[in-house]
Formats: sequence, C-alpha cells, structure tokens
Amino acid sequence: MKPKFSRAQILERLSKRMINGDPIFVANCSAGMIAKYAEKYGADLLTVHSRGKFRYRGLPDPLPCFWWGGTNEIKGNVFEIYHEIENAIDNIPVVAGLEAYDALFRHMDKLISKATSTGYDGIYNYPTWGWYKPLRWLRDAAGFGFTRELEMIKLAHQMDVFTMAIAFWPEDAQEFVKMGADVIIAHCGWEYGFSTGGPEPGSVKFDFDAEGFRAQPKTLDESCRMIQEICDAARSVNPKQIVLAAGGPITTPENAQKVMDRVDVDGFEISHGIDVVPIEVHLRRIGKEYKSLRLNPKNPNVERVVPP
Amino acid sequence: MVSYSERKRILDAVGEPIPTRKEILDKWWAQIKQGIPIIYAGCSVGLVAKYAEEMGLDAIVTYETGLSRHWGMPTTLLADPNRWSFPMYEEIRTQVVNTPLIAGVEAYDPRFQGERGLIRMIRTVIEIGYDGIQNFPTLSFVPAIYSLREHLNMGWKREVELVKICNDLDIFTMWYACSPEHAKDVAAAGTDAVVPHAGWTVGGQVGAPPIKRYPKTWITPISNLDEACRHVQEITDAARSVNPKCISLSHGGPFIDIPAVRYMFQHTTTDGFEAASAWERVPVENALADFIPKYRAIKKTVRKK
Repeated sequence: MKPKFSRAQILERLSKRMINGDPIFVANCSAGMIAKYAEKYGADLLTVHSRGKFRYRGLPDPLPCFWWGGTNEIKGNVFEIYHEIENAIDNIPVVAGLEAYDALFRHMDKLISKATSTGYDGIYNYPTWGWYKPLRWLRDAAGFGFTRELEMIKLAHQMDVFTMAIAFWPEDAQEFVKMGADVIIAHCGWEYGFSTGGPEPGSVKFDFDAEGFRAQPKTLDESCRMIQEICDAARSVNPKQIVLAAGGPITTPENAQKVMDRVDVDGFEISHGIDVVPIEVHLRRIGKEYKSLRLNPKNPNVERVVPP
Repeated sequence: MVSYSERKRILDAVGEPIPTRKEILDKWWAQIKQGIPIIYAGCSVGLVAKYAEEMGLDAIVTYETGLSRHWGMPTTLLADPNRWSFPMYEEIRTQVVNTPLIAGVEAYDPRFQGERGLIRMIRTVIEIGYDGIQNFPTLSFVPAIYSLREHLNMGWKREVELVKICNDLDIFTMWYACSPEHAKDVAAAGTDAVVPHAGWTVGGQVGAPPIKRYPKTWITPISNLDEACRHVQEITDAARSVNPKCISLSHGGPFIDIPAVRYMFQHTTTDGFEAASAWERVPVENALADFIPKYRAIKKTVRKK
C-alpha cells in the first residue's frame, strides 16, 4: 500500500535532497508504466495532471489552448488516472494537477478535498492560465480566472496540503509565495524539440510580449533568464523558497543539466522528457532496426534478398 | 425538400477508407519476395502507434492486453476483452493513416452469440473503422479450456469459423496458432497469415516467468531460442502444407529483441514477426531505464544562496 505523505514529510524528503546538494527531480507521469520506473530510478516526487494522457496518446500537451474549464472532468482526468498511477508505485508522494478555474468546481474546498480523498499527497495549478494575461483578466472579471489559482494554493496551504505553483511571471511567483506555496515551478512555456512538441523558438513570427503571452517556446538562453527572474522574485519574498524549472527546452537530461549549470534553482520537473522523448528515441531506433532485418534466403517465398 | 440519398452520398464520401485485402497482400508479397520481413506491431496506446506508423511497420494490431503493459504490469488477459479493445480505436486511428489497422477480437464475446453472432461482430469491427481482424485473445493457447467449451460453440472451432466468414467476405485476417494442427485449421479456413505463437513473451522487466513448458498449455512460454525456432518452423510448414500462399508471422516466447528476431529469421523460413511486448513494452522499459537515471544524475552546479 502506498503510504499517505503529509506536507511535512514531503518537505523533509525534498530538503534531504537539497542538503546533499542534489537537484530535486519531479517526474510528471502519464501512465502507470512511467510512474513505476520514475520511482524505481530515483524521482523525488511524482506529479499527475489531467492532460498527461494527451502525451501518452502521442499528442502535444495543449498548454497553449483556449479551454476555460472542464479539464477536471475530461477522459483520463487527474482523478480517473490516480488508480493507475498508485497501482504502479510503492512509496513516493504524488501531487495532483488541478484546474482551479473549472466552472464545475465553484467550491474550491471541494476540488482540493476531492484530490486528497482520491489519494493525492499534494496539489498544484495545472492546467494554468498564468501564461496569458488579457485572457486571465477577462476570466478573472467573470470570477473564474487566474485569481482562482492563487486562492487554491492559499486554501490548500491553510488545509496543510503540500502545494506547488507554476509561475510564468516574476510577480505571479511572488503572489504564490505569499499564498504559502511550498514550491514554485518556473515554467518556460510549451515544450519543443520532438515529434509532438511546439514549434522551434522564434520560428513563429508574432509579438507575443505585446499580448502579455508567455506560453510560446523559448530558447535555452531566454528560458534561463526567465527562470532566474522568477526564482529571484520568489526568493525576494522568502529567501528559502524552493524553486524548480520546467517546460520549454527542459525535455532531455542534457538540457536539464544545462539549466542546472546556469540557474540557481533547486531542481526540475520533467514531463515530455520522461515519456515522449525516451519512447520516441528508442522506438525510432528499433523500428529502423526491424526494417533492416532480412528473411532467410531459403524461405520458398523469397526470390532475392535485397540488401538493407 | 428532403433527400435521404444526399445524406448517404455525403456519408459515403467521408467514410473511413479501408485498404482491400488484395491491396494489403500485394504490398506484403512484393516485400516478402525481396526478402524483407513483414513486421507488425501490437499497439495499445497512441504514443507507440505513432512511431509504428512513422517507421513504416507493415500493420498495427490493437488488443486489450497491451493496456496492462502501460499500467506497468505484466501482460494481463483482461476480462471481457472486446469491451476494452474496441474503444481503443479512436486513440490509435488518430495516429494511423497509412498502416493497416487490425482489430484483435475475442471470438467468444457473449454479445455476439447465436447463429449470426460472428457476422454481427465483424460488422461492429468494420463499422468502428478497423481494416482487418486477428484472433486475440485466443483459446489456441489452452486446449484444456477450449475442449470443454467446444459443445457450447465457444471453443477453438468458433475462431476457425470466424476466419471462414472473413475469408468469404474478403476481409484480411492474421491468425494466431499455437500448434501445427491449429495452423492447418485456419490455413484451410482461408486466413491470409498464420501467426505461430511461442507462448507468453519472455524477457524485459516483467516478462513471462520461464516455468516449464507443459505439453498442451501453450501459453507457457518456450524460453529456448532454438526450441522456439523449431516450433515456429513446424507451424509454418503445417500452414504451407495446406496453403502455400499462407504467410507466416512469428511471435512470442523468446523473440523479444532485434538479435533474437534476427536469429529467428536465420533459422526459420517464417515471413515476418509480430512485435507486441517487443514493441510497446520492452523498448519502453529500456527507454525509461536509459533516460530516467540520467535525470537523477544531473548535478546542481550553481549556488548563490
């Protein structure tokens, strides 16, 4: 049976890692298979959210999308797949990604307690609308915007539930820290660089900054700059704040190391990099190898064996 | 003005295209004549189907046991299999355009009993959008079980009957056979390809336990590569003795990775290989074993605090 982890226990687990000088490794899991091996090969914490199954279906994560709610109810949602994840693991905390602005969860306490009673050990704000300011202001005015994400973190913290908060802007990170977020995840936008990833940074000509938009893919340089800004902002409120990096180029071990070489964050969260990228690399190689095999020339159906 | 035929015209125009049996076989035979094996993959989630299509594998088959692999569990025969597998279609089809998409079906499904039961099953499968049919899960594995069910018309004979109906309807089939007798049965019934099965796949992190092979419990794996090759050859020869144009596609047992499959092609005259655990389980396990420890090994080098 997977034990339940209290907020204090999770924080102790993370601080042990930090005291040793190692980065915190958070694995975003889209299937039991991924959770099983993430635990086995040393992840510190698992996250699960309602869009993980998109990746396992071979589709992009709809980070830049136009959905204003309902994710907590879609097929393969965070509550539905908990059982599959828990079934595959033994002793590691699992954090639920919740859509705070879901129109079917007006009562925030319901949403949080649904996650904890499902079995989750903590919560965080994914999907998020943090990346697109005009739209979140529009929805805030309607009562279902980004402010809900801040409220969710605040309430969960009051309920002594472990919380993480994804932030795209330094000022958001500061707000989340004030609400009591245990971990800030500085997010560098849509992941890119593989078959279901976003477009290469800069390849789409559009003035995203002018629209208050931050979900677009960013280069390693831009990402590191942004992560450091968010990190500094968070630590200006709480110097001991745990900050992780995620998104954008952080989809391979090499790129994650490059980020850790340049930015003073405490670790990283891996999503496409833990399922799509490894599986893509290995199946492409194996597919090619299968296609290069040849039949036995003694096979009566073979006329001549063409070389690979 | 109401036109019923207009709706029919539009529905016909947007219907899911399906390759004819002849188109699939012509392509496969051209390939076999050149000595290029037919490789097809068992895919139960979109992500692995995506790369099977991209790498140009020759067919994709869906069935319910694959789901358990992605749960991180040993391959598991799930109850009421068609209720699991038929709804997998949308997720897989989204990734599959150019590759024949074959439905694994359980022929004994209680929803499709009675005289026209199998025909209704075929209609369901083709209406969903699949391009062909394969018998999975199959009772070919376990004569002890099917012999008791035969008088209820829920045994191996029903699987053979399904081949016959598909053959009459000109629907593409590939059929698992665990023994030479089974291969002869389905070759005579008109299957396009027989799939010699060497038992539950051995190898990887949660492969079949290598217990002893019982004489007629053919789900127990053949772990030894040479023995498995002999088994494949016997079944292949049996099928060809009935119909020389029956393709042989081997599967299971110790055939789990490229070296083993290469060895099989060197030591048998089979025409191809079905990679199921060898496509969607072991390579994924290896991929995760390759990447995740590298994430764990990342060092924190910047310290401002």
